This record gives sequence, structure tokens and C-alpha cells, in this order.
Amino acid sequence: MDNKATIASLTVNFGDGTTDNGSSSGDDSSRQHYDVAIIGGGPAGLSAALYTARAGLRTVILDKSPYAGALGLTDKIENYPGVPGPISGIELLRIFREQALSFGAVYLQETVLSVDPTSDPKEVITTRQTLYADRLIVASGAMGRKASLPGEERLLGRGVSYCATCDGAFFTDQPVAVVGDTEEAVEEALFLTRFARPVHFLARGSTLRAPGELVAELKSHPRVVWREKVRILEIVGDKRVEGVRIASPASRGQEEFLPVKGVFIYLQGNRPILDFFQGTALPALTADGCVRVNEEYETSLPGVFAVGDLTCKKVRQAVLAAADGVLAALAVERQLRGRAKIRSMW
Amino acid sequence: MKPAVTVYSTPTCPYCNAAKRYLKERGVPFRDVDVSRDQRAAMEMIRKSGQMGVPVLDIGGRIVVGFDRNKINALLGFH
Repeated sequence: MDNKATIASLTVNFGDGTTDNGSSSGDDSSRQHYDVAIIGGGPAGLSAALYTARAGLRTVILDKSPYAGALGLTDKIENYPGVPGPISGIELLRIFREQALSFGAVYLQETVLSVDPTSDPKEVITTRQTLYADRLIVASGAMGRKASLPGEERLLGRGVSYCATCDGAFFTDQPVAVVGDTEEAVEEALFLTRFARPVHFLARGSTLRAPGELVAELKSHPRVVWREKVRILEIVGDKRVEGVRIASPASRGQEEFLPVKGVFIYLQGNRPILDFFQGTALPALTADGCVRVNEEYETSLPGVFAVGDLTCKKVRQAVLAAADGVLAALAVERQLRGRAKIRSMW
Repeated sequence: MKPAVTVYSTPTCPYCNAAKRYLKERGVPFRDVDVSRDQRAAMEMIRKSGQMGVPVLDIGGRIVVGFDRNKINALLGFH
């Protein structure tokens, strides 16, 4: 498909959308300065927040979603010490969060887009604001992925997108597909219904990890075609996405071709999530792409700590991630209070 | 002389808003083009970048796809 044909469906308004200096962004641009910013609201990040907040440090937790992450996906936990189970990961995280917040930590459900770990204080740009912190504790987990579906990387920006709120307007009245099982996938699919038709929702499993009311809204939406247990075989297209080849129980495992113009992908993998470090500011990594840390969990970037699954433990358990967070928090407290040694906090 | 800066964006795009906020905080004037409202500008953006995704920044004729702080800094002479 050529550019002209693609753009013909872009918008109904030929008016001049130009404004000066982005005054329509609608962002909260107020500046906030914290002692420590914690990226990630899993067991490592929330344990770090508990300790830094309890030590009187101004602490902010930046969490993409209380449903995201490895612990949030776990249905039944019976072996977290001190918490008799069975308990869901989401419920255990709620307890972690409330305990940290009870000592004054600030919890913001915002995605971190970019950090400058070398500035002083360190600059953190989220989906809503720019904030500053003297220390960073990165606890973003290891559920990242690289482009792995056939055709995905080649057609990125040519119909393949990871951001419906960014690119949905390019697909007005066009058929699109959303691939994923998460709350983010459901929210983005619902956003796409403002523009695209139909929106094929291609779930890899049969259940979605999202609030029930969102799932109900998705499944009943007149513009959504819901499919489950879908295997994505290939995203097809030459210069632009022209369709996606899939197989699913609905087609009795036979290959099917969906003629969509856009494919929005929200899949997860097992790679450390470090995309908010850009280019030269990346901390030193191991050969496996994990973050190198010292015994206090500080990275090669001074004042930047990494905890939990980012460090690629041999054993991935919430209690070990929590312990990482505690050790990093104690080191942060020592650095900011100017002591040579970590003080035990009973 | 500082390069002219244009940001091609959509109003709901968090990366676009972050890029615009980044420029504003550094006092960089720019032209903000909403490609969800301006079809000709959208075509111009696709022609320049080969991309159907936003944000796209045109900094003195050099194209930056996405909110790429390092590239933006390099083209604007920031450190």
C-alpha cells in the first residue's frame, strides 16, 4: 500500500492542526523533587520504598500498573514467609503497597518513558510529568521482549505499533489487530475502537489479566472481534502491513488470514526492562543482558540501583526480590545521610 | 542560529507529550502539528520519516523518530 492510500483513511478533518509550542499537551508540568525515585511497583520496588520511606526519605514509586509484572500474574502464593496463603499475587502486592504507603511513600501509576541517570539530581520523565530524584532504584522486572513475531521488526512504524494512543488515528475506519492478554492490551484495544473497525483482539490464552469490567466492555463492544488461544504465524506486508496470518481453535487450527492494516502488539517476555535508559546512559550489563550490580545493588552508574529480576537471579522468588529492595534502600539511605556504613534498621 | 523544530504528534500520545514537554522545559520553540487533525501534515510526516507512528521530530531538516532524548540533544547541541 502506498502512502497516499494509507493516509486517505487517516482523518476526516483537513483543517490546520498546527499550534504553537505544544500548548495543548494537557500535561501536569509541575516539578517534583524526591530523595529517591523507584521505578517499578513489584516486590523489589515496594520493599525498597517501605524502607526508604520509613527512614524518612521522600520516596516516590512509579508503577505502570498494579496488575503488571511477574508477581501480578501469579494466581496462588502459599510460600511467602509471614503471609499465610493461598493469596493472589495482586493481593500480596496490595499488602506490600499499603505498607510502603503507610510510611509516606508516594505511589504514582505512571509509566517511565526516559531517565537521565547522569544528571544531578536525576531526571525522570513519565507519561504525566518530569520529576527529579537524588537516587534511583530500578525495579522494572524482566518481562520485556524484543520484536520476535515474523514480520514485526520489518514493519514497525509501517503498520506495526506498540502504542495505540499514539498511532490509532492513522487507522480510521480501517481493520486492525491487537495482540496480547494484559490490561494494557485491553485498554489500548478499547481506545482503538474510537478509530478502527473492526478491532480484532487476538488473545494468546483464554483469559485476560485485566479488571473484569474492562474485559466485559471489550468483549461486548460492537467494533471488537474477540478471538482466544491464537497463534500469530506472521505479520504480512511489503511496505505496509497488509494482514496477519493466524491459527486458532475457532478455525480448527487451520491457518487464517486477517486483512488488517495495523497490528498493535502488547506481549511480554523474559528480558530485563531497560528501555527508559537511552543510548549511552545504559548501566553495565552482563552477557545475558542483565544489570550488573555490586553487593549493595548499585549499578555502574553512581546513585542508580537495580533490584529484583533485573539482576537475573538463578531463582526468581518474590521474597528474594524483596530482600534486594531492602538492601538497596539501606545503601541509598547510607549514601544520602553521608555515612560510611549501613545502619541496621530494626 | 538554532534549527527550526517541528513536532508531529497526536493529542493522546504520551511519548509526544513527553517530547513536547522536554523541549518546553529547555526553552526550545517548536511548531506542534497534530497529525490526527491535519491530513496534509500527516502525509508530509510519512514522506519525511517513512513512518506511520508518532512522535516524529524535524530538527532543522533532520528527522528523529520517537522520543529519543539522545538524538534530540545531539541535534540541538545539548549535553
